[in-house]
Amino acid sequence: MTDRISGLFLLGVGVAFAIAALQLRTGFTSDNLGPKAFPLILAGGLVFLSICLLLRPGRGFRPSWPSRSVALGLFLALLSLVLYANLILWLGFLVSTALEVFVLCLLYQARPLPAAVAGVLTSLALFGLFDWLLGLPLPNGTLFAG
Amino acid sequence: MDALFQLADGFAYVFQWQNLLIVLLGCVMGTMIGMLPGLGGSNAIAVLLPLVFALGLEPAAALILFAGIYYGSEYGNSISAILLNIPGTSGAVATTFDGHPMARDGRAGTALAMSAVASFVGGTISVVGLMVFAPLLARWALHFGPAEYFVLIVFALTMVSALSKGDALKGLISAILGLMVATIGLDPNGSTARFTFGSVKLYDGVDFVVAMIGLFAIGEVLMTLERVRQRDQLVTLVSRASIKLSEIKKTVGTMLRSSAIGFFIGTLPGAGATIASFLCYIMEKTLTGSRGTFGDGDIRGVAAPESANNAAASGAFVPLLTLGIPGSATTAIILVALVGLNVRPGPLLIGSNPEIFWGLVASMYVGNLMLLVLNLPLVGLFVRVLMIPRWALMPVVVVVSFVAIYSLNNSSFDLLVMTGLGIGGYLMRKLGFPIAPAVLGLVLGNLLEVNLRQAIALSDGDWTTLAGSPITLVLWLCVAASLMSPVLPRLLSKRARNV
Amino acid sequence: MRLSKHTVAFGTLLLAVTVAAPATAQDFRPESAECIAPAKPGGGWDLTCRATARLLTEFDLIDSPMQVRNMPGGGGGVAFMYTVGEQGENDDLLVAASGGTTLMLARGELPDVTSQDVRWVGAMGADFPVIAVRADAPWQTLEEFLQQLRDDPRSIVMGGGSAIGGTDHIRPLQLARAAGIQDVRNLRYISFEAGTAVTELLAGRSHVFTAGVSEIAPQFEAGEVRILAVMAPERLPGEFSEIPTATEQGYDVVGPNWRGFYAPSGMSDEAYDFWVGVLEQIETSDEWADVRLQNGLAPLWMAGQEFDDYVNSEVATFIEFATELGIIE
Repeated sequence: MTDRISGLFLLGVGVAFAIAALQLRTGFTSDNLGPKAFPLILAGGLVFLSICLLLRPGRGFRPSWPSRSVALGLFLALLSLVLYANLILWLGFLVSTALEVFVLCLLYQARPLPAAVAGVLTSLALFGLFDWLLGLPLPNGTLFAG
Repeated sequence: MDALFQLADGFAYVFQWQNLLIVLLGCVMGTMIGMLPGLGGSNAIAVLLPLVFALGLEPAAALILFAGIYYGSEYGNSISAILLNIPGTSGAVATTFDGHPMARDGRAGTALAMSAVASFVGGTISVVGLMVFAPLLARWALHFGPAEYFVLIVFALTMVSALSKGDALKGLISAILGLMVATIGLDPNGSTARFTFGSVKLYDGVDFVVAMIGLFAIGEVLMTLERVRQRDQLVTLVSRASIKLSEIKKTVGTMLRSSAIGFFIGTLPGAGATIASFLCYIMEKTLTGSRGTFGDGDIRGVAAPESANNAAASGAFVPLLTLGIPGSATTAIILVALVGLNVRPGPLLIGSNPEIFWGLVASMYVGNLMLLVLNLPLVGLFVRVLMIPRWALMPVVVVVSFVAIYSLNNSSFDLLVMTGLGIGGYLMRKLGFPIAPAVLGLVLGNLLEVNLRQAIALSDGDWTTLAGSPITLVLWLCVAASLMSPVLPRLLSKRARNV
Repeated sequence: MRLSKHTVAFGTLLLAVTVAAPATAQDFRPESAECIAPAKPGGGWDLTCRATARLLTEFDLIDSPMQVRNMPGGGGGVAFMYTVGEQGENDDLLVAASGGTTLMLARGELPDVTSQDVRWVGAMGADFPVIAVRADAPWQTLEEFLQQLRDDPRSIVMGGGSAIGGTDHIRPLQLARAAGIQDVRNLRYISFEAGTAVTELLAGRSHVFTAGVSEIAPQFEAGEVRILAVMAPERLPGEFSEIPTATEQGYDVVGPNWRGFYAPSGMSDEAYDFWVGVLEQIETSDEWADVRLQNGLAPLWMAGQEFDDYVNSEVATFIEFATELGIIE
């Protein structure tokens, strides 16, 4: 059943990709194929293969989905990563990294104190490694600027 | 014979004690950088390049340091591939297939040692190949035009998809998904923006390192997090920190075959090391058949890709040194370094600057050797990474990969792309789609399209050009064989069942 | 009509270097100088930034070292959008650029920005495009080659390193136009990677190589290729001096692919003059001559207001040419 749903979804992806490819604006070309041909070939391939999957799904394949509480943990971890990516410029590297490691450690069921220590140490160590040793500048954070 | 003398001169130079010290320094730095997820291969070298120049070394010594860093970072990539299931470059992806299962089995030390030995063998054989065949191979590489490349890449993709763990159909779908992601960005031949949703940030497409870290590192974090929260026991056994002679003996044939094939594929400019490591892995898996435990921690599954990617790395020197054309990201940076030393590689290099050519060959070789000598005793230390408790290890790994990606491209947008692909990778694993074909599709997608379009443009619209030479015909036969091999038996058995 | 104006302006720029001698702006010193290389480490832009940063410190022209930041994306487009959008007033920032950057701007790939949204600081060297063929090719002179192009345009495959609409594509088209070929859209150009363009020429799959002279110098030295013309204002120095220019063969096409810098549009005049001044000090040094040599660049110095005008007129010229040909709308 799962395979049939995947097949249906992929069929949709293939069709959508083909439609998007057809709408590409072709500029000046002295290239015989142009920008549309390759994406269209790929879309055709995906449509064909997903129909195969629909017609002949794998036997006895059952994915093991996580329980609701585990899924919540995964969701929180991803949310924290997205927030981290967005906050790194504003809070600066040191603060945001310490916070992120702290949060992730807690999600991995560490106790708060070791998690906090890990956060601070990781943040300092990485800052030293990247900013000083390797000369790759890291953001200081606009929050504290000026 | 001349070559032999000049190589001996090269070695005599490298074996001075200060130069050996420099190789050592390079190997250590390279290994440290390469171990960090997200920093590896050519990126590590580019990052360290200013440092090399800042040390103010004389030209030949700088090259030696450089070779050390290069081999160190390649080995560092294998360490993170084996221990953490996070390859640092595309050439190390195939190493995860069996390297990581071995680590989970408590055989991380053996896998790491095997990787060092296999790299050394690959390096040795390819140095010999470089001496004997370089001029000859430069000619054979010229026969490889866009049409030949196109079919070679199709072959690599179908082979990996069809023979990867699990369902061949899902493998092919996975490869196509990877190819689709690779089409994002500016059309390689013109200025049409494709699937960028109007964002200039996507004009260069999805950076391969970003994609790989997303699919592997974020995916791995989600998988382990799931297991931790389900209170599965995550036991990491660390039993033995070395390799037995009998285990090496078992892999001799694998290493020899993979080195030879890796070297030949490496001489073709393009994604040599990646294609070579995948093809050799699959080839050994097929040859071993049911006698092996490929995919579940077969030591030959580490030996094959590791010797192949190392041999391919030296093979990439053939076009660089004979035509002046860099065949890989790494040789491109070596070209920069050579040019920085006022040496311009090209058809005249071996004749006019033999000491540079053979000095380089000698230092690459010594870099290889040093790595073996240095790392075999240190394997036990590396393995201790696994003894860091999971709750601390995985968060640190994620953050390191975030920082590496951020500092290389200065874009927090890349971090979001990475997270998005991580979710995609997690779903694919859950639904039984193998990740490796998608990664290969992502790496090779651009090359595949570019070569297809060049081939069709060269023939002025005639598609038969794709099967217009003996090389392409042979490769198409290989494609057909790889597609039929998993499907045929199943079709037959199905028919039998239905009857 | 713009074409002749720009050719004249360019000639003056090359010869009259002293005109733009900038005031030594004592009143400005950058606090945290930064150079953005709009590509990954290792490419031409990256090297331009790193070499400049190194010499700035070596010559003691700035107080703290210039940071080099890589910002790859869209052939320089990401860095351009970032500079225009977020760094409008920054006095401490230079961004590496080249002739390809102007063509990208002219093609209108970036939404809502033009070449006038930044200040063009200076060009510090250039690679000149060539028409190169294999040593055993039938054409001995540019004229013979152009004659076949006139007679049978589809029989010749040209190959270069840049995408369609980039320098390696546009310069030969300008040449063909100068040779009286009207429908240059009918010509065949294939976009290879720079290195691949050389192998494809050697393997005989393409017939003409149209990228910069630096890319094919090793094959030229080895006698494997013949260079029919270089699109430079005068003959190149040294071993390349035997190559005739297109101009002296009667086709007035000059197309330097320069390497240089731009700065944010809101940069103060003091800061702008300071940067023009220090770049000139670097450009005239022996160390920079080495850098040029290592990168296969010929000398070229344009800076300040004149360079700014040059870039803007180049963009206008290209837009005119391209619109006429139907390359862009």
